Amino acid sequence: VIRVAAVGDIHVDRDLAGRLRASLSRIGDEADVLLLAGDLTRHGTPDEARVVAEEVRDLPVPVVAVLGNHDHHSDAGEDVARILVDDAGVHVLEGTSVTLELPGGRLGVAGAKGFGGGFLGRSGSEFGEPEMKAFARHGRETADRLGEALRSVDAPTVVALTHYSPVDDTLVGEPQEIWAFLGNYLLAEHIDAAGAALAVHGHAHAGREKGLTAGGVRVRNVAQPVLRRPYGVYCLAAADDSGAVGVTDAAALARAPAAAGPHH
Amino acid sequence: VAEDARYLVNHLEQRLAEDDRTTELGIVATVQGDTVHLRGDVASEHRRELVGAVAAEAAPGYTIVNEITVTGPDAGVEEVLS
Repeated sequence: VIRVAAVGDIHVDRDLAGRLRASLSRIGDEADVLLLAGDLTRHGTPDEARVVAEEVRDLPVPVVAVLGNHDHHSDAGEDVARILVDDAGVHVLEGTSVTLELPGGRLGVAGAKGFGGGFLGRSGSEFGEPEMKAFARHGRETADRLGEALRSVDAPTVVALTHYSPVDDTLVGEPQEIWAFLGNYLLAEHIDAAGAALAVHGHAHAGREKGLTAGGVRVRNVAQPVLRRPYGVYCLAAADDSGAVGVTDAAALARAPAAAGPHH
Repeated sequence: VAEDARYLVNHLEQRLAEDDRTTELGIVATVQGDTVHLRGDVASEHRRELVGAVAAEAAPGYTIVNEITVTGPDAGVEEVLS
């Protein structure tokens, strides 16, 4: 079993310094890897990125992240990513993937920020004014980058990590009028094509945790205000030769004996 | 009251999203007469106070009733109704 902890939308700044770190005190006992689903900062400044790096530095598990819209607000997304990499060794993904050798097996994580665009029957198109075309194009391009990352992973068990949602199931609770700004079905199409074991996203603070792609991949909205706990832990059965995997949620994990073995 | 009440909710919510002191995208404002109620979740008492302060700037002449909920370790259990 591979235990994947995930949380997003932590929106850290100096005001909240130390809080995330405190909430991660048991991460080494509860999980094998920590995924951060974007919106790690409030304004996307290098200073806030340094606070995030202090929060997640030297954890007993590897940390994998994508950036969110807040992390781009100061037009310094590349700086934010570099600080997380250099100061804390976080794997920051955008159209890229990382393969981790974990006690429960080899796990691939493919990540991209994602974007809005909408869902089946209610999605935008690259048509009309340049601004509308640019909006739709950005959604398609970041989804395509996720697809490339998913195809590049060499691991039997693969998780897709985004900030925006691949499905609308997990947006229920948000006003339906803004769903097209909260996610894009093209992400789910790539996730299904790759046969991912799990898709994790954030961004929709008023949505709900659990959803499903059309292809049957479990989706989890791990935005901190949705979880109302430090992080979710999702247990993936190690893939067999056919690539089949199962997902067990954290409640079941609590009843299961903790996996033995060293943590990274 | 200078602000046209029919558009105040939109302007207020947009200001709370865009002002660097708040950057809160999930706050819901409702207007009844000369009173603005603010609802939503923030992560600290400090952020709750900033939302109230920015809303007061954006809606001069209105009474702000700050019903924002603080979540996480700072969350209080009681609500004072005024």
